[in-house]
Order: sequence, then structure tokens, then C-alpha cells
Amino acid sequence: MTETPWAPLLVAALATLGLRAVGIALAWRLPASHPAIAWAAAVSEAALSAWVVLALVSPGSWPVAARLAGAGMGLAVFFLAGRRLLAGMAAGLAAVWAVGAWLG
Amino acid sequence: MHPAYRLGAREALGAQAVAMAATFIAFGAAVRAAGFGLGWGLFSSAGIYGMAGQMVLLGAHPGASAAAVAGSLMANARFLPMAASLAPLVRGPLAPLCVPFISITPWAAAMRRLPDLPPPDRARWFLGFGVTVWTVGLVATALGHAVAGSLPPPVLRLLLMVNVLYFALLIAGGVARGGPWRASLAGALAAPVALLLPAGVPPAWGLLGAALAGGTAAFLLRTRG
Repeated sequence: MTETPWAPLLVAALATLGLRAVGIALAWRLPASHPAIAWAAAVSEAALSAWVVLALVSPGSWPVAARLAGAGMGLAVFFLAGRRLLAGMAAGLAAVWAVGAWLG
Repeated sequence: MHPAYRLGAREALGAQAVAMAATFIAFGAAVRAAGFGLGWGLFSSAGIYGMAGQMVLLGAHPGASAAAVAGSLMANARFLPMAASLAPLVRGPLAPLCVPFISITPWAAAMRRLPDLPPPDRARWFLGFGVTVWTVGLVATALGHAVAGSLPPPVLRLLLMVNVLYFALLIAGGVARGGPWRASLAGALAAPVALLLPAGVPPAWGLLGAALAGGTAAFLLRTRG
């Protein structure tokens, strides 16, 4: 039986809260148009899209081809269905599963 | 209750709630599979509330607590610039209440939605949205913990894809509307650099490097106005 690691969880939760609070505090007095805000927003948006790309192409639990097919199908249905997120997500998941099953 | 809270809560109950639920069900199941109790999983979802960091702690080796905490923090390091970029939108007496709910899903939704709302409503919208998706995350963690073992492996693996597809579509939809396309594109282009990291370097470093390189490039290339 593994011992439940409560101590690192408590410390990490406090530290993660600190990350958020520091971000808000650093920007507290800056106007929305400040370059530092624009830079923080650009880094955050880049982090999000980089995460998506890495989740699609890094070694993972589905073949890369299945994940890319899912993203392609999801995007196609999303735009064809008038930017309905749920429709795109459902079609993308179906494609991941179908191509994954086909590739074995 | 102010209508802006309700508006935020209502707008949270769509694709974002589905994406959150899928991810946190998978997390709850992984917590149970690791032999940890529901309380630990719930505290992780409630307190860390950032899946990348939660997974680092869950997968940490026993006895490597300091490394686990550092790795978890590193995996969620993007919360700092995210909070900074959100600050001008939620500034005011309610801003401190927003802090614990800053996570990728509410941040991404807020950056796309808040500029359209009147400034006095923004923090309320964020709280309504944030508390709703946070609650969805907790309920989903409990659900995942309860049904772990009865979920077939392909379903678990599909659950992990839901969030990826959600954010891919959210970004594509934003880019198509003339949103922050430079930063999104630059982040995507910089991402493969993370794959070139030598073995043993935590993946969080690669993501952070790609974000800093791509984001800074997009910032320098931005059109001022």
C-alpha cells in the first residue's frame, strides 16, 4: 500500500496559488495597454497552442496519425457546423477512435 | 445575485464543462489506480486546479517530495503570465476572489469573452464561470474515482483527448476571428523544439521554453495600435 503523499500536495497547492497571486499582483498597477501585459498574454497564448501541438504529436496513448486525424476532422466539422465546439469535439473523438482502431 | 455571475455560470456549462469533466474523470480514475483516496484527489483538483501539475504530483516517486513540488509548479508555471494578462480585466475589489480560479480553461474563455463585457461585470462573470468549471472538476474527480476500474482503457484514453480537441478548436475559432493569431501560431511553431530536449529533462521545460520563445516572438512582431 502506497503512503498517500499529503505533504507535497499541500505545499504544491499553496505554491500554485502563489503563482496566480503573484501574476495578479505584478500586473495590478499596470494599464491594460502596458507592453508587459501584452507580453504575458502572448506567452500564455503561445503556451496554450504549444501544449495542444505537443499533445497531438508527442508519443502518447493514441497513434499520432489517429490524433492528427481527430484534430483535422474536429476542425472541419467545427467550422462546417457554424463553430459549434461540441459538434467538432464529438466528430474529432470519433475520428481518433476510428483511426486508432483501424491502425490497431 | 448579479446577472453577470449567472451569465458566466451559464456560459461555462457548454463545451468547456464537457472538456473539464472528461479530463477530471480521467484524473479521478488515475488517482484511484495509484492507490490514493478520494480526499487526496479532491484536494488536488480543488487546490492545485491545474491538470499538468496534478499529474506530476500523482506520478511522483515516493520520497522525492521536493522534486515533485518543483515539477508540479513548473508544469503550471504558465499560471503566472495568465494571471498577469487577466489582471487588467478583473481589477477591482473582487479580483482577490478570482485568484484561486485562474486556470487554463477559465483564463482562455475569459480572454476571449471579457473584452466584450462592461468593465464592472467582468470579475463577476469570471467568478461565475470559474466557480462553475471548478465545481465540475471536483464532481468529475469524484465520479472518476468512483468508476475507476469499470472504465475500459480505450474510453480512458479517449477522455484524455477531449481537452486537446477542445483547446484546438477554441484556438482555431479565435484565430479565424482575428484573435491572438500571432501568439497562437508562434507557440504552435515553437512547440516541436520541446521534442528535441535531451532525455531526462522534464517535458514542462520544453513547453515553457516554447511558450517563452513563441510568445516573445509574437510580442515583438505585434502591431502596436
